[in-house]
Amino acid sequence: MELISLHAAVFLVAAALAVALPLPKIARRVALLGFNLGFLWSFDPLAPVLFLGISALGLVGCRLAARGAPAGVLALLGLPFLVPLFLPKLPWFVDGESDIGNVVGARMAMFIGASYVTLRSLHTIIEARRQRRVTFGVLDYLTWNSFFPTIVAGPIERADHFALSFERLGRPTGEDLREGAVRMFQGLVKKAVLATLALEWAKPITTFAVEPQGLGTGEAWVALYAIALYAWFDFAGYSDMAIGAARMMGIRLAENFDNPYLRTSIAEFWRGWHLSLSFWIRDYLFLPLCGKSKSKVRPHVAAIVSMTLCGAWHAPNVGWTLWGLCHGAGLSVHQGWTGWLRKRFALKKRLAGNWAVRVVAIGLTFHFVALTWVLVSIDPGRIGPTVEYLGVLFGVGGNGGG
Amino acid sequence: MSGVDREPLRAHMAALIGGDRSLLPADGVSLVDEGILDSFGLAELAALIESQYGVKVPDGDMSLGNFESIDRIAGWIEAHR
Repeated sequence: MELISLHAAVFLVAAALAVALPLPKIARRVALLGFNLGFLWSFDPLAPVLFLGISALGLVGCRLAARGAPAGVLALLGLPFLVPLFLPKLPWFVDGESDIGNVVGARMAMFIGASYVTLRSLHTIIEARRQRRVTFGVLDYLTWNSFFPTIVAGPIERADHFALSFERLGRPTGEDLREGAVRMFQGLVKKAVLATLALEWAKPITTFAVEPQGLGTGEAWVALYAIALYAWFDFAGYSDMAIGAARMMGIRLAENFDNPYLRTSIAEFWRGWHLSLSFWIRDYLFLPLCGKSKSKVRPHVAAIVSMTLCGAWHAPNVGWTLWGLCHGAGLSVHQGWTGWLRKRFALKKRLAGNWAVRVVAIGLTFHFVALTWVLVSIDPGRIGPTVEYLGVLFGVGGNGGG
Repeated sequence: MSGVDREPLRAHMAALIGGDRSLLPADGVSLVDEGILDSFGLAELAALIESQYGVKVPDGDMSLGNFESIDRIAGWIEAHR
């Protein structure tokens, strides 16, 4: 499933060469769609068929939504989308639940990237419902939705952003190739070197479910920091490679990470972590749930519900659901604090300009995020080992000394 | 300069920061950068626009980009009246 696998590299080189050939525009697009479907087929011969099914549903939804179909009809049409969103990640559907790939939510199951395809399809239906027509024709829609560098784990590229470079897709320039290659290399270093090293240091946490004995507090904290770094290097590295691969074909994808661990609050963290998912959740779950209400409570409920669903989307088990709930609760508590501080605006300005306060805020935010990774790094299907590990971190259980 | 009465908007923003109007930034300054408006505040602002100015805020327009400053909010209201 990885973009650094040999067969993905073969697809990338072949696609970049095809796009670079002096072909008519339409042939270039058809070739790219062919590579996308071929990439899916290489994992499972049935995958292109399933992909086309979801996309057909998406296209029908777009047409109906643009014509003002009632919300009930669209909701009915949307029901089948729940299958690829959640089913592939249910424990009874997939074997090997505790693999570390869960940390970034990049799972290969019913077909590779099914839930990302679904999120993109839903995005176009919602935008069509809002009378923001996606200008793609069927061919371009399918190419965008199956674009192979992003199909495994995003970014969840929005149609309007993708169209900016795709609609004038020509032969990639020397700069495209150079910048793309550099970005690919950066991603490769993050994913293949830094993430691998961090994962090695994180072994006490990843193996805790089977080897819980004798873990010291110090060792547990080192593993916690390592798993936090692993999650970032692995996922940001993956995004770098996707962005770089697309650039080598002359397509510019939106950025997906922006220094998430140097943020001063959990709200800021989500403006730096998996941005394409964060914006999807904000625009299509959080804000609609907020409604247009003067209620002070409703946005808090909306944040908790949205993030809990986000967690369950990663995998519908207790670990990921609690992870989402914690992030939602974190956002709610932070908003409560921000609202209180905002009313003391002069103090807020003073604190915002104080570097020591910023350092403390960055430290607190990082530790909050790192602790939530524990929920999904040991065994997301069981809460017991997680509680035990948290106990070791805070000096309850383990051998205490480190 | 639009013909929208900005007073209710300024009063709303002032209430968010504890009522001291002298601390409100100029109309062209980003309320987001100043830490006065964020995603949590969008719903309340949209409700204010709908009730005070009688302009429906479509879901697709609910973004901080559209309502980043008093100037932009007033411009948006003017354009959608």
